[in-house]
Amino acid sequence: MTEVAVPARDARPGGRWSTPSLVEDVLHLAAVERAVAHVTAGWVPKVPELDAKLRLADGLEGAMARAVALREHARTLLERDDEALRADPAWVEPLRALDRSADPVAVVDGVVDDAGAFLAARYRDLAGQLDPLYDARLLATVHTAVDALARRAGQPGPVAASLGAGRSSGPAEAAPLDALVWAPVDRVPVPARPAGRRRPLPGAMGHLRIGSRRELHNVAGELNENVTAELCALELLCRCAYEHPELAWSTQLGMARHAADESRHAAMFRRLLAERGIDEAGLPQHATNYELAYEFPDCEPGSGKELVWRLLLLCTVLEALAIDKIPPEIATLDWLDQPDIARALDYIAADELFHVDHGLRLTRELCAEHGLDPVLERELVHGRFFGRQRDLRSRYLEADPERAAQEIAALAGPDPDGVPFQSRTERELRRRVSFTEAEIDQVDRWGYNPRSAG
Amino acid sequence: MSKEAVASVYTIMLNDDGYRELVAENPAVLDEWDLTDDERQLLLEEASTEVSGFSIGSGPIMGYLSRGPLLSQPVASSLGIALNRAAGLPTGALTGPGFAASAGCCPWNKSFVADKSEWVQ
Repeated sequence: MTEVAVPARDARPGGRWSTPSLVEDVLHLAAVERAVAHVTAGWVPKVPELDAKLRLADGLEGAMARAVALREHARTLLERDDEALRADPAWVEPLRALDRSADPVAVVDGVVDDAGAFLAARYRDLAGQLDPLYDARLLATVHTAVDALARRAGQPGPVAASLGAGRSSGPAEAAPLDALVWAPVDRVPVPARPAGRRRPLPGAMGHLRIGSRRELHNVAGELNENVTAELCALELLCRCAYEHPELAWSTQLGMARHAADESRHAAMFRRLLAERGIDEAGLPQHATNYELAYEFPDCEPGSGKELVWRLLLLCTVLEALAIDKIPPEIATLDWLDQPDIARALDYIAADELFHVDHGLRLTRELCAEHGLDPVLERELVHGRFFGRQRDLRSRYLEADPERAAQEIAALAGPDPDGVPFQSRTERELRRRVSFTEAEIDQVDRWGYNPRSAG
Repeated sequence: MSKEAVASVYTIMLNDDGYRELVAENPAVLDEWDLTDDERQLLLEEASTEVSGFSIGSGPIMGYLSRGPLLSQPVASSLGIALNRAAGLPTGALTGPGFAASAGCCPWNKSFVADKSEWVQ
């Protein structure tokens, strides 16, 4: 029997798929979205103004989610041939150039408005070419992208023009898609904050409550401290993602989702401040949790161990303690007739479970990869982080005994509100996010809550 | 199990300098533990090494413990506590005059402001 050559499917009239360059179009969009997420993650801590910082951060999860979805669409069309998941580095070179910029305003505008407008236009073009039946699943992704980008993007500018030029250069230099984004261009030990706002002295409390929690200055101080904490978590997660582009895209997406939650939480507390007529410009600012958790003398900068320590501390110590601390905080706020803040904390408490759950899974995987023991490393990073806090606070107290005496009296004095609630180690909630009994015993032993019965 | 034994002996050495000296001077005290010859040698090497501050935990034992299966969680936790204590680091919540009841524990108003000049290179 004569062997008949199989017709080349790409040579079919009109091409193999509904558009002649469908796979390349999808790979291109995936590459640009991944690069947008990369620049965004790297820059969020470097943008000083809070509105601009959160505006930039708000795009991170969407970009990474679309990148992951598009990668999967391409992989499906390529019949799961991972080797064929390739992209031209020229496609994302304009974003790489933007990442090397020194101008935060140019970066925010370039990513949100300019690149966003470019992507929206590309998605619209693609939508116009797709078959509503054959490409139904891809169309759903594309329509969602158009809607999301239309809400936030501005006018196309030089970045869009460069991205367009990069696309037309063709895939001659195609590289693996997963290796497309570049190594970090810098490190950021101190995140940017708005100019002109006061920073408390090292070792001072971010807010020392004197008087009733009902007094506006205390409400303002505590809401502002919560904004600060959320910003620090957002920024540290962003740098974890940016400084480790080798992490799987699915892992990056989990971190982006967590970061997006922190951004939203910061916005929630800022809204509560604004609703009370409080101008945050007059409130102090700092970045303690970020600065004390960004790097450690025990870890080589940029190493896997440094990443593990950051995530263990943020996700499985600090945020896990929030699981214990938020319930009595909510009860207190309801009891004090501050239901709007209580409601915000209810939403945040629900999010914390995902943050800890994801953090536990991720750190267990990373520890296995790097030959580290999660329980041991958690103990060590806990000591290192709080050792820094202890040293800062001790120096502050020793520097001015009179001031120290006043603060000690304020901390040790009776609660003017007589709040009857206290925290406990939330063993059941911790079990639900996959803490083991031994890990729950670990936090119980640290003594942040009255010892639980087990 | 012998890896657990190594971690346990090392934990005791970190918690008790006298035991460390005893091991260095009289290796026979290790006979009561289920140890391989290599593990015994590593412990003797560790016992005779002077370490302090950041150097604690940088010796041969931690390198050995980082390979192979994980330690049981209570043993891992005890070892971490001992390493922190030996390095002069906190092993629990910060307490005492001037520290809030749950000082610095979580993002709820308890952090002590960092000295950013310390971190700017």
